[in-house]
Amino acid sequence: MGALLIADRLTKNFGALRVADQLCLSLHTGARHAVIGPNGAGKTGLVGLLSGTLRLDAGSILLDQRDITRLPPDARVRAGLVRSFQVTNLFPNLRVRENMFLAIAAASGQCGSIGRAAGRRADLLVATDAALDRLKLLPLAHRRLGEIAYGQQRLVELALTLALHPRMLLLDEPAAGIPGNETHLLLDAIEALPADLAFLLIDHDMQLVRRFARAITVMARGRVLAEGAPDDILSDPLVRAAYLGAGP
Amino acid sequence: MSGLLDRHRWAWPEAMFWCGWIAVFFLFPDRLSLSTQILIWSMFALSLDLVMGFCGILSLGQAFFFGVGAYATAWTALLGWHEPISAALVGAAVAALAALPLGLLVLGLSGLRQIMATLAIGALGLEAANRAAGVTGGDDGLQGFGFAPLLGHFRWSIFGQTSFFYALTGFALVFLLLRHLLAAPFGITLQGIRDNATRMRMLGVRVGRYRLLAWTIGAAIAGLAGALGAQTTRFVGLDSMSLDASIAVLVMLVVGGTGRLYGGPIGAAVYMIVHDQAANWNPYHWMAAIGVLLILVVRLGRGGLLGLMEQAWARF
Ligand SMILES: Nc1ncnc2c1ncn2[C@@H]1O[C@H](COP(=O)(O)OP(=O)(O)O)[C@@H](O)[C@H]1O
Ligand SMILES: [Mg+2]
Repeated sequence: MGALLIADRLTKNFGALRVADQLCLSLHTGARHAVIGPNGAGKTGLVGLLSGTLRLDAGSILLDQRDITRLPPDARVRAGLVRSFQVTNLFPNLRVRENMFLAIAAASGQCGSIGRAAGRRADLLVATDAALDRLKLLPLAHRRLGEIAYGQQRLVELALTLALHPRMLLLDEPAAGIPGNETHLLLDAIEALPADLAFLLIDHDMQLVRRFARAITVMARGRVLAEGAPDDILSDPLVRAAYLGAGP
Repeated sequence: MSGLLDRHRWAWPEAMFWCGWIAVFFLFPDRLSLSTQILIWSMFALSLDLVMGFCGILSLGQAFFFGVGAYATAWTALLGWHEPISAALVGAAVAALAALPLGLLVLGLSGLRQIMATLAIGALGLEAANRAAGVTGGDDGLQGFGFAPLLGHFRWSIFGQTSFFYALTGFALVFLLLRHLLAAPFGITLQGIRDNATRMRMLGVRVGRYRLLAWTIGAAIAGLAGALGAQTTRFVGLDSMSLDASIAVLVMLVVGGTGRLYGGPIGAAVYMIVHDQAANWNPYHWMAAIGVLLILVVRLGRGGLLGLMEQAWARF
């Protein structure tokens, strides 16, 4: 399988702070790749640069051999490069079903549709409820998003992200904020992802990383510290020192 | 508030609203001219509600498009085209054409900067209209134009029946169109953009395109309202384009309730009736009456008069 995503020497400064320092990353179709590193290492920054919400100072990004370095974030999403947010970023005043409807309408290119009322679009409504059901969110469908528990909001966030049919998924700490008794929903959802979908998983939870990742990149201060198979990386004394020395 | 996905369902208070307008014709036959003006400003308020209430674009220059529509329609008559409906549509189209390039300027901004940019559009537009006296008649305005009988049949009587039904039909059609657009996925998308544009972008939505669409449709509706104003009063003055008019329509919308479609029309009715009554009582102090009303409505809760009615109804 050829490379799906190639990030070449990504560089980003916030003043004197180097968030990304010549970062290189290459993911193939169906990759299961984890990025770990202490807080402030630049992991969220990397997601921002790849998804286009942060502007690069230097470097380039290829998706499927197409240069997307200058593409705005919404065009990257339409090209199949989708991110989730570490902090829930949704529509708190809308109901859970309405939140999902927006994602379904976007994914099916129906945002501008004016033919029939949204409430009569059986096609979109069925897809909406099916997408909610994947994460067992249907019982919450009529609730306002802002009034459900934060852990449940995290699951809605993930459900919206998955509804966009990503080919390359950037998951920024998807487990953060989900209570222990609901993590299995998240794990099942990740487990059930199609084999040709590639994802980049950022998390501090080593069990989660061990379970899903087939390759790991260790970051610190905007640089790649080490890269390799999970067993090698997680037993590497240098990595352990760097990671455990500064991390949580 | 009922859900976004139920917007297409009719509720019975809506029937009350429309029956009320029919009743006005029979109950107040001597107030048809005021009623016609309320209908026109209701349409104008709808245009601002689409742009601001439903799409989150802050505009203090909406009267610019009202004025452009009014002048354009007056000119179609002055140039010899007297069929009223097509002339009104010309007003709407010219306003929409003016809105497109301005939208590219305004819609990239947010918050205070957007308010300032729309204010500038209004101010510059007014100044341009003032200077271009050859086109606008300057301070004297445009007059001496008239239109053929409506549908080739109904003359523009001095009692204003034709004007009233013309404005009522125009308002109802625009209302139905907006109601349909806002219930469709397009309207749900606008709501998403209003609530969280960043997230919409990260759903892959071309946010700028939809904002520009809403802005342009809003301008067309404002232009149509201006056109109807010109046709029913047979006069267009600079005040139709003034900052006062932009503020008035904003106050109407806030008093009635933003983002709820009936808010603007209800606000327009209250505003203009208070204006009319207070002018009898003291022509200089009617603005104080509006000010007190505005403060009360804003203090008592979000959602204007319509929001208050909904709260009362929920408790009842
Ligand atoms: N918008 C910003 N402006 C300035 N500094 C920022 C900004 N966003 C992140 N940073 C800084 O960049 C560094 C990397 O942050 P981040 O990528 O969020 O780390 P991680 O996700 O690995 O914990 C941190 O030191 C953070 O304080
Ligand atoms: Mg982070």
